[in-house]
Amino acid sequence: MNDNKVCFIICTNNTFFFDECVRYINWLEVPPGIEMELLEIRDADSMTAGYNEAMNSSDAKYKIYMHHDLFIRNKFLLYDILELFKSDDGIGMIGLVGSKIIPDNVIMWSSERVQFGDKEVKWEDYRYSLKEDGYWDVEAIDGMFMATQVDIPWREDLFDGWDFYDVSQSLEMRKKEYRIVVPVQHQAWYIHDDKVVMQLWNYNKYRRIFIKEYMRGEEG
Amino acid sequence: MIHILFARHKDWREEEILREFQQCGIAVTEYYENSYEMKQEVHDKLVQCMNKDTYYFIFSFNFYPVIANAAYNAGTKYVCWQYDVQKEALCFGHITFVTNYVFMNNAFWYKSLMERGIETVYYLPSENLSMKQYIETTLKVTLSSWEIKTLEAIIKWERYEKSKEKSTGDETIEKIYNSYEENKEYLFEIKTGLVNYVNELLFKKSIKGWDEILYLFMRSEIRELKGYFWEFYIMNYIFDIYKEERERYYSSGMTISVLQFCKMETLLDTYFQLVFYLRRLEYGIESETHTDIIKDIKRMNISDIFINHVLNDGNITDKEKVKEALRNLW
Repeated sequence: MNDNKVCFIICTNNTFFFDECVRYINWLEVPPGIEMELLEIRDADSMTAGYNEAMNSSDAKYKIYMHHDLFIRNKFLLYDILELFKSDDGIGMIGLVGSKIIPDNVIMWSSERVQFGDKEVKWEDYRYSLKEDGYWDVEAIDGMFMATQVDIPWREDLFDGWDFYDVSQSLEMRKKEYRIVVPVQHQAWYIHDDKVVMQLWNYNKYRRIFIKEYMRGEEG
Repeated sequence: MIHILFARHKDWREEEILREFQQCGIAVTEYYENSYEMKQEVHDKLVQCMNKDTYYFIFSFNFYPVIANAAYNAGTKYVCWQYDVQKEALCFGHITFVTNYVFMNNAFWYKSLMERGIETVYYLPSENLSMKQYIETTLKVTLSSWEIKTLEAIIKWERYEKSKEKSTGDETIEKIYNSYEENKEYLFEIKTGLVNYVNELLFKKSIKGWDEILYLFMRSEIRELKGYFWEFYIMNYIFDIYKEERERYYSSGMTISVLQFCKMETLLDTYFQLVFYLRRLEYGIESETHTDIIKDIKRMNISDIFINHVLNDGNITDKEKVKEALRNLW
């Protein structure tokens, strides 16, 4: 495992968005001594299958799994993420939006989600400070951006589509007793062009699978 | 099967038309009103009726401004056969609604309306044509094949939705999220039909074509689609661009830049390309290519209205910075 390497992993079916997404990655300030890698996954059977394939093929300690329609606008994201990970080996995963508590219905946007701090800062003056701004501990993070410092297999045995892989991975991390955190952002670190409309065609199928796998014990 | 709403008006010729429609395999729902005067209550009742079901068009024998107005507001086409000269009705501004398909038997009136620049009238003399042929010609002019496919898909979906309403009651989470899975097939069928139909209209590269798209998206069933497909959501932003460009065209004659696009896909790609370009200017992404970005924006041949809308809707934080960059590099 290479402790000085960051690998961006992106499953995509859209070159137009992927290319734009990569432009923002290339624009990031890279901390000295850090090697960068980018893995583009095409024609994946599912998000988990694509992510497992990429995870196993990279020796980077730090991996950032993200959507192709996410554009990172925090130029110092790599500095901030690495500082966060290095501050605590127990932090397994960092997200940019998270849920403090997974709601009973597992519909993540039906519970309180955390991302923004309450300090008013102009974008041009904004710079994240771990010491001053801190982070939230959360139970789950949104799949648009998931940075890890430990490799834990994605549950492709259960989630063979494009939904719930993020909440599932959050629970897998916590099963291994890793913390999941979301940095307090006084300005959003990203632009997410998810185009407002959510693709929920198979959402309930995977919601049921999730409940059966992770919450049945709690219900019982 | 084509389903129409027939606005009846106790004219003796209507019975024969009704029979012929039915013999041509058209399902007809009859709508009765004692008088089609220009009254708000008449208009509202008509709109309500058209919104209750999916009709391919509303039909009347002779033109009624109140029906034209209601059809326009309900996003439904209004087809009428104009036989009697109703000078007053035809001189109303309502004749110009893009939803109208007024088939005229009177060559003089047709010519005089055409000379006034009214594009919603069609000359269809009844001599030498059987009623069946008359109906067939009307349908050919009024409905395109993709439009028929879209409407068929909408009707199938509505029937399915209605059948579900009878069998279940509560709005549980299961029910809400299951509906995505259950409706998927219907919604994708509508999407395919609609995209192709919109492309047909875009291909006309005309104000009329765009106005037809606008009225189409006023239909309640189609409005709902923007909650399922991002393409239709973004199209709403583009409609705002078109409306502002059209207004300027009417006031100053300046070109409507969106008319150049023949396909919805190209239109959406251009929209996003511009979003991406403006954001790159904002964040200084690949700054060495910014001059090329300006060249490409110029090549796109889009208006300042288009650019301003994207600036406002495209998640740009520092609009002034981007405007300045555009000014400096232009």
